Amino acid sequence: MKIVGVTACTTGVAHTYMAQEALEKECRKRGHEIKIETQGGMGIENELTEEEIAEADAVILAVAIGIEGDERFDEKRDQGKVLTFDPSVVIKNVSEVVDQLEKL
Amino acid sequence: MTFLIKKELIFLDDELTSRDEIVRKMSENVRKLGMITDVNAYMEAVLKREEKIPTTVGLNVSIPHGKSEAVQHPFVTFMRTKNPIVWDERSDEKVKLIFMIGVPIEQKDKLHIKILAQISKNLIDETFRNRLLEASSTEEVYRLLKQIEDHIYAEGKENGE
Repeated sequence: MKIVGVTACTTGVAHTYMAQEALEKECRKRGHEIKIETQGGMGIENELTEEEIAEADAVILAVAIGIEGDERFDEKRDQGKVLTFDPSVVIKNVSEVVDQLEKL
Repeated sequence: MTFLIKKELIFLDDELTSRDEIVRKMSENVRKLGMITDVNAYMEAVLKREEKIPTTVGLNVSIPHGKSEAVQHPFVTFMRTKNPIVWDERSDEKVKLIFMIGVPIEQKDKLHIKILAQISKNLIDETFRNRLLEASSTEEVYRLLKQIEDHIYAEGKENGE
């Protein structure tokens, strides 16, 4: 599967990057292609392209705050392909979260 | 160049068992060291975040953090409690490793943020967590965290940051 996502938290120094690490690790372990954009203290990194979003089978938004470019995911939302959780929930339950992504 | 990782910011086998007491103890320490100007203002930011949603992440870890005008310099301060403690009464999740982070409203130093981010990423790794859980001295924890800092600075130099 191709999975894309965004992680962001209030201070942008801890949970943003932990959630990224947890998702990348779990998805790679299962053989999925994954790209996570981080919106944190270092600005936007690893920015997703329109093409990458369009091609994604599932989208994970691990966000505790409003994010830049949220409308990029509107089409995927209409298709029911977007899951949104607080980053700490994603870190804590990364295996269940990826299970859910696989079922979308 | 100011370093983020300091021995004075590491507490091992502390006997405190309540979240608020732990946050207060570490906040008072960072005030003494000059990273924050006002304990109450910083604590308010930290506890407000905790009320919204606890910063526990499973893994025996919590990462309380606050972005506040009271923060002068970014910091991370670490405590390993003597026994696992219930972090937030709304769940029974226990923690032993507490990383408390402070960042100023205006983040000027990207390298510091990068170090905080890298420490956070490393916490996902079980081996790294076990090292923190099993470390027998402050010095050992200091070296573990310092390695991360040194690595980021070395990388920064290469990239001309």
